[in-house]
Amino acid sequence: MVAKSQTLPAYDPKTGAGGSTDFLTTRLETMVSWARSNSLWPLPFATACCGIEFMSVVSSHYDLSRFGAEVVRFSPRQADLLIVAGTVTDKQAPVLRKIYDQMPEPKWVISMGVCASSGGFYRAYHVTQGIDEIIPVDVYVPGCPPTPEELMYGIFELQRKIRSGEKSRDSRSARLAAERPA
Amino acid sequence: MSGVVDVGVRVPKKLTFSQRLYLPQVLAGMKVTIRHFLRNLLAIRKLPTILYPEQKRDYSGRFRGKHILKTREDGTLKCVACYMCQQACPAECITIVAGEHPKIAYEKYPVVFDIDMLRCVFCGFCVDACPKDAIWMTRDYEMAFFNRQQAIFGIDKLIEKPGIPVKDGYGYRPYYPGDGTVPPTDAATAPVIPGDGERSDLRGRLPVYRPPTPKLASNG
Amino acid sequence: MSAVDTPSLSAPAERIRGRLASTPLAEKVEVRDLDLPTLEVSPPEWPALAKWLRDDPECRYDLFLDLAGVDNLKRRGQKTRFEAVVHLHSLPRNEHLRVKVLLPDGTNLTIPTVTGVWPAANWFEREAFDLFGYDFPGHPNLRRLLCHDAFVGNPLRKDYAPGQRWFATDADMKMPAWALDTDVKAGHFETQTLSIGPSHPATHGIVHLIARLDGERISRAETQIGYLHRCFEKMSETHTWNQVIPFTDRLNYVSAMINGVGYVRAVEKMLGVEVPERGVLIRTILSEFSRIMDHCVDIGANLVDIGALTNFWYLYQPRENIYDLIEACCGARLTVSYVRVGGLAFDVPDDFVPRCRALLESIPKFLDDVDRLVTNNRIVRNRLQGTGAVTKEDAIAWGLTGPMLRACGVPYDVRRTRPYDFYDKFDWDIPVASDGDNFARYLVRMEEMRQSLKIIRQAVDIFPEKGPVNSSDWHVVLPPKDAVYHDMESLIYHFKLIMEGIKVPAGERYEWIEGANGELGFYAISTGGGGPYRLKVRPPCFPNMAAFEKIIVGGTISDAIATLGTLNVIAGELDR
Repeated sequence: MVAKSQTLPAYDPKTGAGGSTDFLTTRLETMVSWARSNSLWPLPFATACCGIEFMSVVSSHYDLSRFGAEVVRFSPRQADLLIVAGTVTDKQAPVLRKIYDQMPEPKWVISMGVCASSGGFYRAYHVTQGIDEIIPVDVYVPGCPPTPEELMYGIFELQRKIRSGEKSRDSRSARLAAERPA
Repeated sequence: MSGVVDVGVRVPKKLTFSQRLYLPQVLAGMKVTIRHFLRNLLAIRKLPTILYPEQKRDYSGRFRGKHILKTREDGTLKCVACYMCQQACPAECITIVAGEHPKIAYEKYPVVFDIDMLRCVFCGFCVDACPKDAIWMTRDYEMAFFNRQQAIFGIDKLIEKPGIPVKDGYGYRPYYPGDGTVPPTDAATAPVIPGDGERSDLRGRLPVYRPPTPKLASNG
Repeated sequence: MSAVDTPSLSAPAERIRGRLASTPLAEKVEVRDLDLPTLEVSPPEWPALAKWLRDDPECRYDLFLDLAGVDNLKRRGQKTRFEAVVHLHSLPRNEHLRVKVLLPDGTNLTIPTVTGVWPAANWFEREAFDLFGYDFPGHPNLRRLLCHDAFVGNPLRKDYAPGQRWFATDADMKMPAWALDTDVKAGHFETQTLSIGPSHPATHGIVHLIARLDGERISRAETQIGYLHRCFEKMSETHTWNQVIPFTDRLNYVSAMINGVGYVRAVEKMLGVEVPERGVLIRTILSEFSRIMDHCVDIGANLVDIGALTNFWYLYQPRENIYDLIEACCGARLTVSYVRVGGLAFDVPDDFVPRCRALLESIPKFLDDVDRLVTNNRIVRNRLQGTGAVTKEDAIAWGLTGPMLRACGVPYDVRRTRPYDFYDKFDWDIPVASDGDNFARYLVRMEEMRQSLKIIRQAVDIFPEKGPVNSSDWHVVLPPKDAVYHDMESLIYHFKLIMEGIKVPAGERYEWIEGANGELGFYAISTGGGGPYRLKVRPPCFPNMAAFEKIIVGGTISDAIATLGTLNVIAGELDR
């Protein structure tokens, strides 16, 4: 039903322009993106300390459910936002890849904390130096652990990206994800 | 009298008849939950939820957020590229390239000062290590990146721009053990009111939250 | 070793030497006195010595604490390259002991297993096999524990580069051999092997439980850990003494302060520096608040697993309030990095005492609410009472400490048996229970929180208004900033401390404190340099987790989940 006859200019994160925000008329895609961004179902892949801060985010003081992300689903088949919270080790990496592969499209990934984003200060023999070695990442949230507001800010940035209609990942992480054996 | 208390003795093992009946316990439990519910509903000013982003938690003056490079009065960086913060950093996230400053009194300055925000663990060791009061931390934590290159903050993102107030205020800064905070005599510091965990209302649309002062038994 | 020219030893060491003299082991065991009485033995005699140490009526070393591998490649003055350092505790006599098993040369790394003497040694020996390559003939299940199965090499050896990684793919994740055998029957019925984890809502942190199920009952189980092995011990070898402190925060990350206090105590004892009273009291108060936070998370998560979600929210309130206090002191909520060797990073804010008192008023209300909802609730009782039971003898044999051991009736709490940081000055009780089941552990933890509040109240009452928080030795502690900005000598001390680290005299030390889960020990070896030569953490939940696969056999899966909740497994501490 939707006519995809026109290609959208790509979303530019720096200026926030491009994507479907350039069009004045409401398109179905805009509405769907708005609905998707406001009803994210997170899968907290909580491994370490960031998992505790994620628990703070869903607790009463910060309450992520105010933004539609109330339903925290631990099954990848039922979730669309994978929040990797905590260090991912080389032993956990195949597990993470499997969980990501089991999620249905559309799916987004937030890498919460510096350990998940880049290995953090663990330049060590068993720590994956950033989950973008294995899976493509949409938003990186720094902090060790990020304060709950920082994670919420990361989720707002992701919502902004979803609403713009952007579906592709950062080119570097997509290339790396394709090269690494599953 | 210090001793050992047997908690198994204090709590009877078998439940009483009314407890086993289950319904009286359900009602007693609902008394607790409904009390919380009504308290949240009727005294909404005391709701524990911080309505971010309209309300922000007022972190203390020691909060470890984004770093800031301080400047002298003439606008040059105070940093003399001594590499102490790079050495002190447990994450090795600071990269400095030193250059010779034309003014002999300043001698060295950092040509490149990069902090990789996706490696930094925000421990504050760089602030502790600096001998020139050149790096502080602010209470700004709102950072999220779409790729890893964006996360490497150079001097342009870290420098304290003169005249522009620091976003969210100063946070972690060099301390003087035992004395409290005494800034060095040649620093120009904007007055900062440290928070104590209350909420600060940024947009004036919602009432400012003030947690109730607990009534201390000693009434102090 | 002849007994003619040995120097006189401390009383416990003398006693052991005297008792040993009448056994055939006398010639083969050397008794020394380091910070603890130390025995040195070579591998063939180790099982006999172990049995003797456990059974001799004057020794009775029944609690196996730790087995640490040490590689002395870059350390002078040691007898052999590889050692296995074992720490033991005698509950009746309340004494610690160290035994060093000296492996003869760099190629023959065989040590006979002592799992027959202390079942707790099982996982410690597996870890030494994994990280050092020691071989333990007779061990029931000698496989890699922390590193993944495709890992090549032994990472904690000194000739292994810290950053050398090995990729693991899905095909490399091996199940144990018994799990792959699908033909096992129970009577007429088939059994099924279920893999619970490593990504599972109930496995806090990440733990992989493989269970053979006969209907709903578990007939055999094995846990696989190591999914959060972040190489803390190798990282501590590549950083300076103070730089290790942020790493220690991430060990038991729900009570971060306690790990830091334990670690810096070990270093301070090696240095011989004294922390002033105010600094010690701040450490004690914040450690007790951290303990309350840890128990809040544990009880909350446990109740979530059995379906009581409300209490999780209620118990998170005290956590957030304590976060306020900790953030006001040091700038971060969770990973505090507040301690330094020689004291604290800096002083507490001026309103510290009123804030503590306010917390003391507000926290008991939440505990009372949870108590009203949970303790006499029939469903909670059915789920928790009678499940996951551990007998006292089993608990000691499996090396359990902390609330798990206290729930079996053994009042072993390091704060009482070997008081530190003013704990002997305060009036507080150790909660124990006698059942050893999940409900007993829940009760013990609830009471421990109230006792912690009692300790904090007394500490706050004697808190001095002013005073230094750091030792004034500038060889250890950074000088004050105004001195560094203006005074050349202070700048030089500052420079040396930052660039090279604190120069701790060569030696070794095992320092133990009461973590939220039990005895948290740090075994630190220094060679005089700016950073640790070897730092071994004795994690309290390591033997607890090792015992888990034995506790749940015979119970149902739901009991296993409830038991896992009360174990309080923090993966950061378990896997390091």
